[in-house]
Amino acid sequence: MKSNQASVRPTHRLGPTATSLAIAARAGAIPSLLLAAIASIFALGILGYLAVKIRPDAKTQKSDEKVVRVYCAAGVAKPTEQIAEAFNRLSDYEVQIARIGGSGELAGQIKTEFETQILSPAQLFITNDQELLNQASMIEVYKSRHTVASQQPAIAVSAEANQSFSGIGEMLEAKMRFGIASKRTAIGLLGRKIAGQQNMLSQLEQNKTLDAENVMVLAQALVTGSIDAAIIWDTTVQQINAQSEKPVLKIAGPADPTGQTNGYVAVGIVATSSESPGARAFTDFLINEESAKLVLKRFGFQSAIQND
Amino acid sequence: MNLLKTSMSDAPTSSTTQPPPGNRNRIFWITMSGFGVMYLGLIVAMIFADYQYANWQDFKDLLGDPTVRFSVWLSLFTCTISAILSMWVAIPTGYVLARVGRDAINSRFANQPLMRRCLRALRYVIDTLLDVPIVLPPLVVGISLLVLFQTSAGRWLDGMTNEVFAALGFPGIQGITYEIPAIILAQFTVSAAFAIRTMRDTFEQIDARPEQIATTLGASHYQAFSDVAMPQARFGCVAAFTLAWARSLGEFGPILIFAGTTQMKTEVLSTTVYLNFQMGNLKGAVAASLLLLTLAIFVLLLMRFVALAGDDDRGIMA
Repeated sequence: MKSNQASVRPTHRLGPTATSLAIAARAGAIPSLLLAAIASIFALGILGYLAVKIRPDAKTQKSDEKVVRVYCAAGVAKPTEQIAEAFNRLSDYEVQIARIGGSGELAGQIKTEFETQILSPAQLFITNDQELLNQASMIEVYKSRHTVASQQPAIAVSAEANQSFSGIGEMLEAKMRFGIASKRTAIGLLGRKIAGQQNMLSQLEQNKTLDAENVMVLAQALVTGSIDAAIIWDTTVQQINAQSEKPVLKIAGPADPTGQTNGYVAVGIVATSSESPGARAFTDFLINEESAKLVLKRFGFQSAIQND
Repeated sequence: MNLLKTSMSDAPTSSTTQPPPGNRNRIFWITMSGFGVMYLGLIVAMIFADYQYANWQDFKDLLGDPTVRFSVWLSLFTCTISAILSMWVAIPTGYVLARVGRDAINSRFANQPLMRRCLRALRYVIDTLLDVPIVLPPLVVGISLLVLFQTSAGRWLDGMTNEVFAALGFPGIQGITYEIPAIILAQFTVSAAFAIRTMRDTFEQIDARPEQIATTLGASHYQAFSDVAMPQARFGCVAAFTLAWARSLGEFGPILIFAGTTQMKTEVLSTTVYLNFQMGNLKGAVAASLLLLTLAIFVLLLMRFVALAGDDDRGIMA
């Protein structure tokens, strides 16, 4: 009965092809299942066309050699994004940030892709941990390495908190809920190294509330109030605060009381990259271009250029 | 008689110690519903907390971003494509699995015990393999797809797809891996498994006898399937499509690995949440999550309203 009701629906609003199909279906020439299959093919075609068409560069004949795919550490993603935008405006190449994550996680993926000969989407790797590039270079994962900037590990707290610390030791004594980043991240390794130098590593490991996947996850936990303090980069605090109208985090003190421990942001050009001129051009831009330096400075990074 | 007297004299005593039947029923229903209500409370609390965290301005900022609008549209298109593809696979596969079950094999090969055992074993293996995408961690699906497309056959297909898109006037779409087709393939791989399971259960619940009678009256197997089984399976189809669509919308792991998260290229809503979170924009991530949630609820309600509104028992307007 319902199918009869459905069959008397007007078809004048349908297109000519759909109308003729509907008429044929009513007459029994086309079974309803076949009609549904035809309709789904039409739907797929239209949706597929729309999905591709909304992409701004879909109709652009673009050589893959002109695209520079970047794997970027979470802690340096925001400035990299801004620098890439400026570079794309000025250059024939197009920088795309293909992945954002912890430095160790991304370095591990690039190394795996290199060893298994899986086509790597990454041509450049921007890391918070220069040491990762040094280690991987022993097996020639990277064509070249360049140190871009430096940053310092700091103890961050909520902007409304009134604590201040001279180092990790004081933070531990304060019996707060604190978090550190995992050993797969640069800041996680550095924080542990500082604690180890002060014979506080076991205390740090035992009392931590959170062992976060990367520095941004740790910073977000601090923003939401899940923890009271975290060992993160001084630059991460600035990146987080840049997202809000008023500061949400502040630096309560350096992680290293001597203030001598630095982390280095570095760029590696991946050896499997199909074409390196674009990767080299962006690396040069990142290191030498004044506007790029200004962006890095705005996020609190110190200049520390070295090439290898 | 004494026994009867005893039991009758005991009756008032027992009624004072146990609640009356009406109360017992109430306790039963409250207990049974309690667990569901607690779970529902958790879901509602999470949604409420999200809405508390992100304000209207965050939404406006988010939707004002062209990259986010791109990811919303791309999510909607790719999810629907994946769900339609899933149904193409799920309906025939679910039907075959339901009709070629243990009983069918037993009756068809009653006199061939070895064949019977082999076919039953094969059916179980196929059934299990079809469930693999459901039980696998999503990242594994992504890695497996990535590895698959590095084989010679995969690279050939990648190249062919590139040529097809170029011929269609879209030379910017360079194959499958790290492109829009990768999103669809990643979503389809997982969502089809859910759709197949739903359709198999649907067809298993439909009595096969009317189809058998139709064939004895001269209908072909195709006619029995399309004119007898399918009309009865329409609600199952809606459920399978909805499930496949919703699963595709929330898919993240395989897309991250196989399609990447490049803005204005392969960024879908689930990756927008991830990217905002990784960039330190928690409010943006929460606003994107709410957008995803609102979209999912709206589309699922709309789909059920449109597809089931006419049905007295299941329709949303019933």
